Parts: sequence; C-alpha cells; structure tokens
Amino acid sequence: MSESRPNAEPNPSKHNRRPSKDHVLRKRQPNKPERGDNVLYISTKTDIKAHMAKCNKLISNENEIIIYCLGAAIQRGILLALRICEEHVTYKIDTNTFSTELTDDLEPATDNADYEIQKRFNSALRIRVFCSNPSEDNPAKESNSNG
Amino acid sequence: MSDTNEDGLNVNMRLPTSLTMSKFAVARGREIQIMKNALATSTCVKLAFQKLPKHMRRRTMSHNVKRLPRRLRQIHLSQMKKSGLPPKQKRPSRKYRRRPRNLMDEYVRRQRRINWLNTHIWHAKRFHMVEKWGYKLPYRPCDKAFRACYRATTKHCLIQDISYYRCVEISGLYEKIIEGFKKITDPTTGLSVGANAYKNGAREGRIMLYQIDNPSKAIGEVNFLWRPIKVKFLNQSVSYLWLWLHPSFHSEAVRTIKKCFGFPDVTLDGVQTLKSSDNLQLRENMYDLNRFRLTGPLSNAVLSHAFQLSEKHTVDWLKNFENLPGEHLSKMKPYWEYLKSISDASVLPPHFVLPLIILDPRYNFPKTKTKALTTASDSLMPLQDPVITDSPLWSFNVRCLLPHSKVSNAKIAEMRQNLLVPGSDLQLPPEAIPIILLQRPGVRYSQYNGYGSGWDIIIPATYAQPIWLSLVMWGARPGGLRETESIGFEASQEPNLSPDTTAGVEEELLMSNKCKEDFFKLPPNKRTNYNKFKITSPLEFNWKLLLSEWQSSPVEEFTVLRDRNKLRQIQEMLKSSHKNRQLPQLAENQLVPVAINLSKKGPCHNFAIICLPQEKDFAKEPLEPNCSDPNAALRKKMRKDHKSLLKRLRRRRIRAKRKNKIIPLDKEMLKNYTSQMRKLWLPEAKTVRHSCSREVIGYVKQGGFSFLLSKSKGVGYIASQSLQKLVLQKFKNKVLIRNTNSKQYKLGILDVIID
Repeated sequence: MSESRPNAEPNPSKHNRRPSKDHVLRKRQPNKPERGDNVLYISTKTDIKAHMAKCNKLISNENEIIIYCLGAAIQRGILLALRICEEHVTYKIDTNTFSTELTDDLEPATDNADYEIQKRFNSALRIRVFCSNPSEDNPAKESNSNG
Repeated sequence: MSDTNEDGLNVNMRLPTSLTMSKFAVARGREIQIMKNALATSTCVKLAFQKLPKHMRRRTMSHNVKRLPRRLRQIHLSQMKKSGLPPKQKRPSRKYRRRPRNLMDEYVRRQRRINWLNTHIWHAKRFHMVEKWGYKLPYRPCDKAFRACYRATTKHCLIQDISYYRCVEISGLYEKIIEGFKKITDPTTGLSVGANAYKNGAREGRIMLYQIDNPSKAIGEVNFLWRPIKVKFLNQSVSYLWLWLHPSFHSEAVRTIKKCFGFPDVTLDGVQTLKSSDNLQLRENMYDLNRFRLTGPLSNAVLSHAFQLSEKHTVDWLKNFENLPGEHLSKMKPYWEYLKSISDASVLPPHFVLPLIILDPRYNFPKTKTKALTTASDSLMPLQDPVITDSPLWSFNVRCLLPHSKVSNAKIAEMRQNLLVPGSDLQLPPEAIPIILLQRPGVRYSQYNGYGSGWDIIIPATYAQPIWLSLVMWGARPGGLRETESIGFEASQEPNLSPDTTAGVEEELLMSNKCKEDFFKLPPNKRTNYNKFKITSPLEFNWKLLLSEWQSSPVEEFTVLRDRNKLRQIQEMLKSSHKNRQLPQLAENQLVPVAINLSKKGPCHNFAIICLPQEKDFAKEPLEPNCSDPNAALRKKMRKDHKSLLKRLRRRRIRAKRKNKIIPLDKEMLKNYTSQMRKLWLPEAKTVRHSCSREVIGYVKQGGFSFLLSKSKGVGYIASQSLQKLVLQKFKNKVLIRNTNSKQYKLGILDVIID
C-alpha cells in the first residue's frame, strides 16, 4: 500500500513527520462532528462529479446540505458548494470556518518506547447549502449569493 | 414265510422277545419331540406375515409391524433383521424431540464430535456452516449478502463471533514469563511481549510464535493481553497474560508453551491449571470467555446503545472480586460518555483496552430491530486518555460464579409476561456483567485509513447468546468466516495462516485439493487446459520449487520475511527512484508478502502468477504466445486404448457369465488409469520460474475484486531473491500478473505488506 497523503494534511515543515527511530508515525482519522444523510465529507479522493451527482439527488429530498471539508480538500468543498448554487439558483450558502484538532499516533518501534500522540490543528470549513425561497424575504440569514 | 409281506416290511427281521419299557419309552419320546419340532417350524420359505390366511393379511404389513397379529411380530422382526433390512424405527414425534430435555440431550450428543460456538444454534438457522479446525463455524449468511456485508464494514457495523480463538492464560512472575517468551518469539518481527507499550495492560499486542526446537519455524500469530495489575499471592506479585490462539495451531502452540515454560505434558481441559517448577500456571479459558468482533464505523454506536454501565456494587460475584478498586465504576462513567460522542472507533487510541461492567442487555432490548446511529454532538468533548483499570473478568473465581448468577431466559420471559403494560421496561435491577472492550484501528497506512476499524469484545461465555442477540437487535449485521477473509483481503493484510507454518500448509493443501477435485468434476471438454497456457502448477502453490529455482540449491524449509525494518527498506527501495539504495541482506529461502493492485481493469484470481516485466511490456501488455499441449495426443491415445480394453473385458465377462463363472472387476487397473490420466491433465511441475515467456517470481494467494479499490487486486508472496532482479530492472514496483486461465499479462503495482 502506498503511504499516500490522506485527505487532509498540515504543512509538513511545522510538524515532526519522522519523529525518531523509536516511533512510527500513524495518522488517525479526524473525528466527524456530524452524521446524517445530508452531511457530506469531502475528500481529495472522490471525484467532484460524483459528489455533484449525490448533491443533485439530495436536493430533491432535503432542505439543506451540509458540506464539511478539511485542509487540502477545502478548495474542492468550496467548488462543490458554488457549483450547487450555480445549478440551483434558489440555493444559497452559509459558511463557517473553524479549526479542528488532528491526532497522530507515534507507535513504538522498539520495546522501550511507549505509545505517544502528537496533536496538530488544521483549518476546516462547514458549508451549509440551503434553499432560500425568494418569495419569502428572509434577511436574517447571512448568505453569499454566488448564483 | 416269504421275505416280505404286502406292507413291504422285512419279515425276516427278528423282533425282540421282550422290551425294556423305560428304554422304549425314552426312544419314542425323542421321536415325538422331533416330530413336534418339525411341525412347529415350517420348512417353507415364507415370511411370517405370508403365513397368515388371506383374509387376515394387510397391505402395509411388510413395513408396519403393528399390522401383524401380536404373536407374529417377534418372528417378523427377527426375519427382517436376518434379511438385512432392519425394520425402520419410527422417528419420535417432533413434539417429543422438541421437549427441552430431549433437545438438550440431542445437542450434547452432536457436540461430542465437534465443538460448537455458544451462538451455534442462532447461526445454524441463518448461516451456511462449515467444519473447520475442530469447530462448526458459520461461513456465510444464507441470504445473498456479500455486498451487504462489505457495506456493513465500510458504512455500518458487521459483527462476527470469533470465539473459536481460544484463550490460554499464563500467570506467574512477570520476569519469568518474559524470559520464556524470548525463546519462542523473534525480536525483529515487532514489539515483544514485554514491550513497554503492553506491560501495563492498556493495549493489546500481537506476536508471532516460533517453535522452541526450531526457532526459524513459525507457528502462528497470537494476540496477547496483560492484566493491568499484579496480584499479591504468597509474597509474590503474580502477573497474568492472556493469549488468544487460533484453533488451527492451538495444539502446536500449547505444546510449545508447555515445553518452553516447563509445564507437565498433560492436556488442558479448561478446568485444571498446570503448574511448572517456576511457579508459573497455565490455564485454558476456552469455556469461560467468548470474543465478538465488531467492524465498521457504526460499531461504536451499536455498543453504546446495547450496553449500559452498571452503577452499583451489589452483585454476588463482585464481592468475590477483591481487587476491584472502589472508584472503578465512577472512573469508567465519564469515558463511556465520551465514547458515545465520538463518530468512529478509529478516532481512539489504537489497540487500547477498556474494561467495563455493564448491565444485562436483555433488559434493554429494543422492541424491534433498530439501527443504532451515532448521536450528533455539537460540542465535541476533548480527547481523553483511557483509564487503565483491572477487570473482574481476569479473576477465575468471578468467571466461575457468573453462570450461577445469570437469570435464565425463561425467567425473563415470565417477567415480561407479568408486566402490567405489555412491552414496557422490566423493573428488576439487571445483573451486572464484566466485559473488556479492545479497540482495533484497522488499516493505518493508506488513503483507506480507518477501514476495518472497530471493537473486539471479550465477554463471559454464559452471556454470549443474550449479548449477541442484543448487538444484532441494535443493527449489527452478522457475518461469518467469509467476511473475515474479505476484510483481510480488502485491507491487504497477509493471510492469517502463513505458508511457512504447519497450519498454513494444511490450509493450502485443503484449498488446492478442493480446487483439483472441482477441476476433475468437470467433463474433459470443459476443463481449462493449463498446459496450453503454460501454467505449470495451476492449482497449487509450489513455493519450494519456486524458491529453489531462484537460488542455487534446492530448498527444504522456507520462511516468510517478517523483519519489519527489512520489509520497510524493501518497500522504500521499490518505490524510490534513487539508484544508490541498497537492498537489505535477505536469506535465500524467504518469501516476501506482497499486495498487487492492477493498473487497469480485469480480474485477478487465486493462483495467478506474478512475473517480471520487460521493457516493451509497458507500451502494450503482453500476451503469452500460443503453445500446444504435448499431453493432448497421449491422453487421446490412452483414452482410446482404455475404452477398447474396457470393451474387451466386458465381452470376456459376458462370456464367462454364460459358463456360470464370474470375473471380478480389476479395480486396481481402473484406479491406475484415473491417476495416470490426471497426471496428464495436471503434470507435476518441473519448473516454475522459467515456465513461460516472463520470469515467474511468485504467486497470488488470494485474488479478487476489491470493492474498496473498485479494481482487482491480489495478495501473495514472491521469492526474496527475485527482488534483486526486480530492482536491477529499474521498473520500480511494477510487475506483471497472469491468471491461470488466460494468456494475457496485466501490469500491476507491487507493495510490500508490512503490518
């Protein structure tokens, strides 16, 4: 298996990627703050077209779609959100930026070492794509209309 | 007087003048007796019921003895026995057979030959069961659920009963145990039993066992777990170690352990403990402990819905557990709450151990089968370190007491029946059950990070059935052995039983025999002619021949490379484009475990060969040139000869029969013919390496379509000496793969399996 980069990764210069001979660095999955049918987690692996198809399907059932993206996938997440708004004119987006804590395990490679962890932060984005009915004037929502 | 009178009697015969009355009477008496006997036993060849007058005969008499008059029944039975057709005894009625006592008797009888899991009855109704390693094990669900089971591992939760792993407990002085294990393990394969990471009992480890007489001969990989605390006993602090042994090498491993630690050579029966001269103790916990495996992102949710923490100490067995620190339960509470909030088990520290005391899950069964979902939590709690505490499950006394404190299913059903509002919750305080949760991190090195993560739970065997039911009711999808295989395959793990272990060799032999049997079941025109495809050993893994061809001398014994550093070096070497890197020094008779992902579409099957590519192959994937089968003409001739021979023999037999002679069939000759014919179909391999136009470096042991990659892939082994050539060729980690039933080579990317 190739040691390829998982969907989100910080700037490697800041962190100790090859800790010592005593440890092997293994990345843990980031925690998912929400789960649901209308919650999408964007990775750098899945094709944006596939995500788009999924969103088009979701739009017929759900009022809003929530898109989470992390690190390198942020750009793809934004692209997806903008595409949705482009295709469906009534949809608007609402974004929240935050930083999420990621954990790396330092697994011992020798008998004397113990398990250790290394924490780092990565920027993440939560995009809420929702239907704004133009007939109902709803100024409370702060939205970026890009459609 | 003439010689004879008209009656034909000899008149010349002299009659005695006087008779001795007694003698005469005895002689006549005998005659009368014989006559009576002759009258009683008829010489006619009729069955008992045929002797009845016609108006008393009934059609069903021959098979239903009760239709006969009672006086004839005994005769009829004995006659039927003599004629070789014992009268069919009527099967007891279903109602009789289903009475609990009779049912239990029947189950006990059926378990005498082969071991059952505690969840056997549940599985037997829903699964295809196979006999393996002395157990009757669920192989796959009866519904066509391959994809559903895969989906469960990636999106939901798959549950498997892996209680066939047998738990062996070694207790004694910590240093003594470590010292013993140094003799039967290899420090290069990874962390040892005494590693710092494991010794406080916070993590579960995995280690390869080797034979004590022959340290290069592997036995198999075992999971081990230390007890978090040391028990004071006779001024000694006693450490406990659990080993979970796979049943295929259980006896071999136990034998090695006995030899290594100096235990007497007595069979372990699950009750007795063996004591060694060093004050070590060995015990088999096979009947006390069970182990379930939950895989998939929702496994955390299933556990947190099914289990509720116990909050009181008022249980019988807890009083017997002297080592439980008072704050155990209060310590566990916050961490359990934290577990409920996380999305997935792969977020947690790898392999960590969490002892819990839960309430009997029968009291909070869902009303219907419910899918447990992760509860959304807006504010994520900060990651906490797990608390390391002892579990009552480690205590033998507690394990013995648990079955006695269990409330029977019948009792619970009765309580449910007596509820005022049907379907409402049971009021009585449920029993507490000690369990141990073990986290499994799953795949940890690729883009599929976290695949196969989940929990293992160790539970007391008495509660196996209710806990299993409760987990299934909370939405876990049950799987069998096939799922274990497919999860390992998707995660590109080395097959569980390696080819250099006795158990692995047996497994391979079983598999190849099965394939050969299936092959010869086909009619000749439907069989794949492997000779035409230039595959020399199509239905077996010829590791020894392969390795001896890649080195100078023939190979007797071979090993699988498990040195982590060397494996890592090889992987880096294959991936890097630097020319000045050196391959690590490898022994000649070693196999290197590899995973191969095909670059393009197309299948990859078991037994496929892994070959070295040539320069031109990268432009176009090569085809094996056409080749004729040298044995085809031979087979045809042999078959023709054999047919004519059979005809001749048949004629001879008929002729002999006319003369009332019988010539027996020459079975030896027929067997000979079959085996010779089979050899012509699958001739013994003389060469593997140079068998076709590309050099063969290894075999795919398990090949198939990977749903995770949405492409085919294979897991197999290559000869260590072939790596030198692969590196020299400078195609990095690109190799060719060819299935046994195809001439098409396919490009694939080779990766060394490290974990």
